[in-house]
Amino acid sequence: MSAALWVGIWLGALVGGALAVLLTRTEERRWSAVGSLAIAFGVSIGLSAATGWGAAPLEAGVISVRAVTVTVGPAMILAAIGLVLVVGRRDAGDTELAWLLGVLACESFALLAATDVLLIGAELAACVVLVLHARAQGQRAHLVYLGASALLMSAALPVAWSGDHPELLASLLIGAACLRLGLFPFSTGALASLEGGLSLKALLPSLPFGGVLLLARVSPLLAERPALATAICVALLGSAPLAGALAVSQQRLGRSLGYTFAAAHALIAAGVLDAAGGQLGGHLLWAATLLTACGLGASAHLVALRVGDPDLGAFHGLHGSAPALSLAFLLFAVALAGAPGTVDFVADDVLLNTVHGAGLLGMALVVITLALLGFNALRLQFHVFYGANTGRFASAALDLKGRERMGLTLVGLVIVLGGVAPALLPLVNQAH
Amino acid sequence: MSHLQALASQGLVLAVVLPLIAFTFLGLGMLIGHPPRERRVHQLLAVTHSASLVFASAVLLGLGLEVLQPIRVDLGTLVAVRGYHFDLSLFGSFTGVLYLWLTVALCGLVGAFSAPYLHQDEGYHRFYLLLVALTFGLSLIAVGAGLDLVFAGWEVVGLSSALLIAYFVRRPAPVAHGLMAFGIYRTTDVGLLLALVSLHHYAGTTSLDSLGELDPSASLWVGALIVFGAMGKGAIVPFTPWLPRAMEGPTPSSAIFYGALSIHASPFLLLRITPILDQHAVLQAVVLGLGSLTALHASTVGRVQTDVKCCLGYASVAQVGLIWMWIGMGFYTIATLHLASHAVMRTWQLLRAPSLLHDRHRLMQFLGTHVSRPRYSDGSGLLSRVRRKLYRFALERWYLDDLLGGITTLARQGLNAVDAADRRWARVLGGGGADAADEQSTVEPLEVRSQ
Repeated sequence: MSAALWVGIWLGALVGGALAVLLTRTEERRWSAVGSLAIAFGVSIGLSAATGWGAAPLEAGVISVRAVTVTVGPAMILAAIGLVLVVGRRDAGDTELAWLLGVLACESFALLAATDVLLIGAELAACVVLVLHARAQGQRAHLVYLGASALLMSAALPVAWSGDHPELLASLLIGAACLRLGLFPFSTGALASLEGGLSLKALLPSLPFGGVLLLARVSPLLAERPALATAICVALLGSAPLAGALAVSQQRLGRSLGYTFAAAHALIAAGVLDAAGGQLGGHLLWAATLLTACGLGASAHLVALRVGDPDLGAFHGLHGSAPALSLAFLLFAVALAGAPGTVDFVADDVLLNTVHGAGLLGMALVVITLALLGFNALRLQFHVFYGANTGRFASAALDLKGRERMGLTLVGLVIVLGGVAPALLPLVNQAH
Repeated sequence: MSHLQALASQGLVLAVVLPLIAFTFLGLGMLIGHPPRERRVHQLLAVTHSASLVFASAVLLGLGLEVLQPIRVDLGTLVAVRGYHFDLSLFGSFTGVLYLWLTVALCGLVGAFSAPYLHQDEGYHRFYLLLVALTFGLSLIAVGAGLDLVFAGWEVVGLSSALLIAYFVRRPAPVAHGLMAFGIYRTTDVGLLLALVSLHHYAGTTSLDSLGELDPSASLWVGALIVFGAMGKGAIVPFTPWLPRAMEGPTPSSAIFYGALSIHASPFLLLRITPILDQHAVLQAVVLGLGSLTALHASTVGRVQTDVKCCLGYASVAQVGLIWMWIGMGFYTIATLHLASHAVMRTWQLLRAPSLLHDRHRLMQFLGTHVSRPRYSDGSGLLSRVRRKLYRFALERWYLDDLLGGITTLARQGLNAVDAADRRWARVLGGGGADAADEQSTVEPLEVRSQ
């Protein structure tokens, strides 16, 4: 089967899925989305097999299928399947799933794009979808940041087309990516959204679905200015421990999660900016973080569905009522901090040992960030799930329902499998 | 490789892997919502730990009698990318296998002790899951050939320790104390992870064999980071405050931490970097100084504790301080012997602690009177005043809690100021921030409850 046909089915499934979600009745929307995502996942695995699990890149016109495409693509779709299975009935019944599929379609095309112009165009389209979404949801702070990101991408398009001024293009792309990813201190919008409730509408723009590829294109542009590239890398890394420390100091789960994501995104950004290390650590961390951040976000969403956004100044004792949710939350939270036995541990290890551009200072910043994220993981777990059960929720059946368990187990298993057998990941297979 | 050496390699691998098999079996059972019955759990632990102990004993005997050479086993590569290999290799030296033997023997013993102790407790399965995870983590620390594998074990030990301290999940105090212990672990883990990265940076490999080949400045840097990394789990000054708080966990887990293994992982890690310590007198001096300070601190503070578990905990730390001193002075064999004998003796004491009160009551019944207590003078001489000041100083645990609390508060104040600025900016942008949260944080709570 030709590459164009593969890509056509992949993107067609996502766009068609978005339309199906809009057209179907409320209770069928979730399964329409799951079906289209499952088709896209199958196609992405098929493409992976066609490229010899990342070993033989495929170039066909405007399409380029590389190891990063067939690693991050399936991870992105799998994370989305987990989210769709887990989200509450209000999110599933609303148009949220169509927005999610729309963003995924644009980001998938960005992953497959062969040229800078196409990549920026696809990222711009994804950003515009998110801007419209933020406008529809009344997330004004987020709207400002995403709008600014879209503006910078629009400005980058003609510069990329002309091929002149690589440094200007690099600056525009870095700015756009930082705003899109919500790196600290540009995380205000994402934080305000997450503080307003841990629904899919807040999680969708806060998860690392896009923006990373823009940064990946920056390092070749700065090939002749390595000192500048290193300075940018260290600056991005500098924001990570600060965001991690701020996550630890928060009193609300939503806001703490927002800073946690900002710290994790900064690590990914620094990893993909490092050309000397071949960007492998950054791309691997991106795929891993997509899964773990979605799993953690989904678990936090389930907590919010049950007890609202919990106050972290107290203990809520949910463990007795929801032991499976407690286990899932713990797994995703510690995985995001690079716990052994998870794909994030491998990704963090590779990142630390292959990122040479930022030097020992950069590595120290990564290590401190991971320590803070790990501490925060257990802090969130203990405050939400441990402690005395106040009795407010004792009579309710709070543990995971069937589809929620399925969604979290699916993502959790992939995280553990990736940690135990990382050679299955095309990125690792190709780099071997 | 001789036939005996090959058999010993397989034995070493099995000794490490068997607790992992127990972990997988127990974990899967809990994950699917059908954990095995208590009796089965006990049998599983008995079988895996006994077999593991037999293999470890055989290898230890072979190494001790010098029938075997130190064993190196390559189990493959977890990840191999350009310029970086994470090798799954084990290295069984006499010291390493001794620590492995202690791990499986004492964890097995504690497992057997806990079966009636935690009978029908709601966290029974969780306790055993964490116990086997701890066994596996400690085994990796004992015989992992590379610093990356040792670090993985170190992380597993840290996480399972914190979760075991917070074992009584319904009581806020153990949970808060588990979190504090984990905070200190994470702080010092920064040193170990940085050491791992630095070792790879300078030597191009993370194998502990390469420690002796580093140039002096690099080896000093890596050594200092590992010493810092070892301070947290060993409760070395100023990281001692987690120790008395960690007594909230069940007695069997306390026995594992403060008596037997977890706390001794710290000096054991130092014993694994002796090539670096031998190179740098300054590093030896630091280890000696920290050990002396810790021994002094724990001895004075331990004397004013009012409960037996805290007394034993501080006594353990004092001994760990002494072991650090042996290492700092270069007496590695004495340190190894001290470590092993102290681990066994302290485990017995801690496991015995819950029945001490019962024994005391029986003794009083037998004597027909109260057991006499030592009396202290409350005179007003110079010696008494010094003693009162010292008593207060020890009672306040050398004000280390205040010191760490002060640093945390200062950091929190700075972070709160940054966060407040972010919230204000969110309000300017119209995102609402905290105000919106107050309105919306209760959005559709308890979808499930309404069913």
